[in-house]
Amino acid sequence: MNPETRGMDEIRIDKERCVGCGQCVLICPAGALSVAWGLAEADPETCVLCLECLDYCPLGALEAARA
Amino acid sequence: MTGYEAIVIGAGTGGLCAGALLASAGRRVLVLEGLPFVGGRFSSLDHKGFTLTTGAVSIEAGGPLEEIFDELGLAFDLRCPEPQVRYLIDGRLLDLPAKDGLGFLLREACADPGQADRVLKALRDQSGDVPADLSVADWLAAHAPDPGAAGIFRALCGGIFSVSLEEASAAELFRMIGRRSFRRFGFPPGGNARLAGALAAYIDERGGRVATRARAERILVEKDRVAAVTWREGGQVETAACRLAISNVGLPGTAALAGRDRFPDTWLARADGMKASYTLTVEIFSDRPLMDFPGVLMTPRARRAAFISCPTLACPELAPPGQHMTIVLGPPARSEEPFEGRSEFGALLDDARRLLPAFDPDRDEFLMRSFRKGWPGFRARPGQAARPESPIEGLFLVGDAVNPPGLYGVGGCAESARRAVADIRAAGL
Repeated sequence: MNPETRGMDEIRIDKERCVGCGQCVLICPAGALSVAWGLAEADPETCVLCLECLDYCPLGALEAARA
Repeated sequence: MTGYEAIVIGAGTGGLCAGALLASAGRRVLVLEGLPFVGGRFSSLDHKGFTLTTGAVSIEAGGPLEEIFDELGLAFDLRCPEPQVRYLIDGRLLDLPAKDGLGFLLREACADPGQADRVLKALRDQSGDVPADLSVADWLAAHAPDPGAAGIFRALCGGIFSVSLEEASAAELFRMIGRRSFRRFGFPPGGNARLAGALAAYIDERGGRVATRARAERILVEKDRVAAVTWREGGQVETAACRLAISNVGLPGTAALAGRDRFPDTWLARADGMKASYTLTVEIFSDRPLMDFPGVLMTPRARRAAFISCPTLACPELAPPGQHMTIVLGPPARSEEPFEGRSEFGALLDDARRLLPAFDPDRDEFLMRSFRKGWPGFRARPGQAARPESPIEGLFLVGDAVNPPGLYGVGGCAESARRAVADIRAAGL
């Protein structure tokens, strides 16, 4: 787990910012992200909170948050 | 404060080409890229052993990008399929003749051959002073309302401009046909990332620096001239002085970095009113090829798909051994919000099922990706790109918001960079 994620337990996707380009899906090492019908979705059960997806999103649509 | 002669903001095709051309002219260049990789929508990422594009699907051969690679002495590794293009019309696979390809297609597609001749005559007769706001749909309706002809132009506009017939500019279509741009294309066997990476390495090798995960925050302007750029990198805010700033982040992004109050209202209205072209793709991963043709299969009769392509036939390196990746691509009905994802992707998936009988949606993994809003197919629709000038001395724009008329995709971005570097030289900066 990324030390910055202490206290955080899920990836949240801003539906206004996300365009569904899928870059987060391509790089997610845990396979926790998916993209369909124009938006990405995160599965909190599978996510390991490495936060790589935050950096790979071109529009800053992802953030780590408390459930 | 470290100094650079030029700071490039955004490592897309335009930014990397501008940076490399400036480095080749002996300038000290810093390129700032917010993402962890260079290339922007002209890059690729590895996914389960497949090399997937971040945007650009087929790359123009012999165009401005390849010319820049040649000028810099870089290898332009592109594999061009032969034949390049086929058309699928009513179950028939059509190869284009060496001459009069459009005439051949229209005669094959139109139920009434007279309609094909009318479209061709109208194309020959058009004098060049076509109203800028005339759409291809309206132009076609005035000459030949044949659905067969509409299909051909729908696939062309969707495949090249990534817009629907209603959103495609007739003037720009004629310009593109006249300029004969994008005549040849191919797929890079190392993925787009290898080509983009070659430009970044060139800049590094010539005393410049290409920084990723480095997000520009401000273009500092003094007395209407570029003075410095600040950015965030590794949790720190950095600043470097520069005389030149080259922005590859679109018009509104550029205005936000330099301060909107420095731009005239007309410039800002143009920036805020710019409409993007959206692109939708369905990428299918399979343990067998879903088509047997390595080029681009144009699909005039489809609902959303403009073309289908299986780049792993020409470049097996893009997939694990024995695996294939097929891309079904087209623009939505409208490149606007609200985006109706269910119906738009529903239509594209219907096309994929109908046109690729070997595709089994229950067995083959597939991805639906859309490129829209701030990360679109193209930042400007055909014929609507802005002029590259800025009111700030030393600030130049590159990329697909300012691509020169008649050029699209990475070729247009590359040419925008070449023009910016020529403008810098002409201004004595």
